[in-house]
Amino acid sequence: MAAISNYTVIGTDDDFSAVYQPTTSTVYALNFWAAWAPPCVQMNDVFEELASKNSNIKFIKIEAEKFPDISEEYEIAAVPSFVFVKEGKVVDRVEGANPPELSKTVAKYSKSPASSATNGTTAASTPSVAAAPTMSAEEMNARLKELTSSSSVMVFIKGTPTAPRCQFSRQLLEILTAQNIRFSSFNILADDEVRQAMKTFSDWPTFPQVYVKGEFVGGLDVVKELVATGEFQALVPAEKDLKTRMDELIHKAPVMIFIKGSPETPRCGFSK
Amino acid sequence: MASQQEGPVTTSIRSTLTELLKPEALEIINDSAKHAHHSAMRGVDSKETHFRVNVVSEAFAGKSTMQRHRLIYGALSKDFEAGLHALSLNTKTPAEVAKASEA
Repeated sequence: MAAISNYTVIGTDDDFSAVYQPTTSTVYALNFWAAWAPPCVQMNDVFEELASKNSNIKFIKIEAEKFPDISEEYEIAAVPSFVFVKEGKVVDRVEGANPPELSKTVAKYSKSPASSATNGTTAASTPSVAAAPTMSAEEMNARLKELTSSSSVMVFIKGTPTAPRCQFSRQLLEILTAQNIRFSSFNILADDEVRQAMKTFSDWPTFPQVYVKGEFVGGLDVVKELVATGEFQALVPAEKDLKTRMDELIHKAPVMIFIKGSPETPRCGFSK
Repeated sequence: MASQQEGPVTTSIRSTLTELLKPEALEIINDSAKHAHHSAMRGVDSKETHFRVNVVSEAFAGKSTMQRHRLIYGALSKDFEAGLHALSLNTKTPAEVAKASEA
């Protein structure tokens, strides 16, 4: 089989750093696979085939369990997983053995950079748009409005509550948990469009970002101070424990009935 | 005063904030080395990516913490575009500092 120059099989961690150059505008397609997962065998072939047909993308094959650091960095939960990276950011993911989906995603990034003038004159180099934006500015704005008010306390973090990817996000999560505050989170590492749009939407250049009842509150430092003064807790009452909630409920009115549904729309014959 | 040479980002932060806030005290600590191995920093050569800034200024009077931070972030937006990655801020007015030291 002829060696393909844009296709690399990682043998050591150094191999990865050698081939992966986030400062260029090259798109990287990473294939995380495992020998014990049969679907990977088929997808490996598909992956290699796509490499031979899309020379502007660099295809990198990584045996997930042999490279736990790399797998963790790209949040690989299952194999096969395909991660597309450009300029240091994850721009797309394909999970599972899905040849048409993988081909489609590869096709998205497989453009010959013919039109961009790269004759070395620096001056003001306009940064190229990573991928065509999937929605208009208005649509994104509407989406962010919805997202930021989707929960009483909404936090935009790097990573997830169980696997935060940055110590500032981690500290924020610890504070919220310690204060027993119920919250929802959004992983900005998983969606670069939202990540960039949020910086403008919140007029705030960094993450984590905290919204309470749809209003921007601030980042980690701000929340730390507000918690220290008690202001944050006043904004968001702590989640009461179940016993307290029960006590309050049963004492709420002289006669309390616990039914399925509501008086207007009862959901069971007995409650009705 | 500082025996080490301040990097360009540090100098930029210092001059921007000095002009903006006319601070009574301004401390800029470069924490970048602590984060150099993080995946987000892979491929980044700069040694000036993460800072802690402690600043005392009358300009903060009447502003909430969030507004103070936004003021600073706004003034440093070019630095953020140029590679500044994270900024931990401690922003106090002279009165707040005095009050804290009395306690």
